[in-house]
Amino acid sequence: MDKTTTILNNLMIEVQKNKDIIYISTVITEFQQAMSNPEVPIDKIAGIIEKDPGLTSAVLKTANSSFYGLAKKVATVKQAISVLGYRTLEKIFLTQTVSNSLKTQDSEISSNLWQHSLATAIASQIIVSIKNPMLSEQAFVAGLLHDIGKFILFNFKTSETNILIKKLENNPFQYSIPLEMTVYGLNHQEVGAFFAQQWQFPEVVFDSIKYHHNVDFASRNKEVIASVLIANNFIKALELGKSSSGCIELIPHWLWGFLGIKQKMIQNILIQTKDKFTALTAFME
Amino acid sequence: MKSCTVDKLEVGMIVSRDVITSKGQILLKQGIELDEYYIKIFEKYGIEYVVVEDNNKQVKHYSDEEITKIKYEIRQQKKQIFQNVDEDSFFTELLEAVTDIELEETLYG
Repeated sequence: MDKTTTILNNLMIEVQKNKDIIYISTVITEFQQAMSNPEVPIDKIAGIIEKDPGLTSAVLKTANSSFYGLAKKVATVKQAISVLGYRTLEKIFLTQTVSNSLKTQDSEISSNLWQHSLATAIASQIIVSIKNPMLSEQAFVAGLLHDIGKFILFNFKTSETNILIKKLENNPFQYSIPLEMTVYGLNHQEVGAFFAQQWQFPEVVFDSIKYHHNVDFASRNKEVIASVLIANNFIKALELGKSSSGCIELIPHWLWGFLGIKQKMIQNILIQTKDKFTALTAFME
Repeated sequence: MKSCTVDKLEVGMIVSRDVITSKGQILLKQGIELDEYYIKIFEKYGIEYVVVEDNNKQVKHYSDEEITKIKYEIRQQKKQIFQNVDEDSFFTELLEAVTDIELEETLYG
């Protein structure tokens, strides 16, 4: 067994001991399996959400807020699913579950990472919608989860993470991947992809986690991955939250045209992202 | 300035940025005071958030010279984030855009 696989398997053993993660991964896996099967009745999906009063309340509150602009209020999770549709429900579900899981970790680094992830989700959605609005929900979820590998490393490899933090304090503008290879022996894309596969995240989310720093290696879902890559860099420039490394990376020149981004659009994308981030974080509190 | 979801809007708030629909239609120009009619229009068009003046913040007035100095300092600080990439027109635009956004935030809150 190679070194990377050994580290990942050991990490899985550690992660599975954490009851919050067990709960989250169980619920996410159950939810994703139900969502991917068109034969599964709405009642079963509603039932998964209703097991958790906090999640139920979050789904109903979000569905009934003006944020989604519903003309008629909903009273049950089943009604919320019928009105919102599966894609929006998935977005609400993952936002609430992931943000609760990231926010409850008692560390500044995790809290900063959550803010970075949420901002990247918003920017990814705006960027992909320039040419392909149909992918907007997927881009949001992909952006939200793109750094899930970092979250796992920060919380389950704490002594190595302390070394990483010290190295970044000396030079905040290093690229994260080479630094992670030195400190952990593997990088956050590999870790995130491993867990995304275990938890059966949608294929587009798996690909975005695995290739958001190297889209040239991806063979599918390039529009969403590219949106996440550019969004990640925009958010670092805006300094919304923090994702360990603070520096902008080289963006392959072909991506701008591929996504339909012209130079004069950049400021507008940034302003929309910042405003929506401010509103959404206030709303979620 | 602050960004509010539509359900938190109140009559009397002043809009700080044009309110635009997802199709690019301007519903309300900046500087207009909100009333119940406008808030209902936002709900009807599915507007998610509106940027309004923050009455809790004191607006300080800056001279042109002060603004130039503040902008220079912001740009120098932001340039560090771009140190590992070559200058090209997209990155130059990105740097200018984030500088302007942070300048606006510094001057107007």
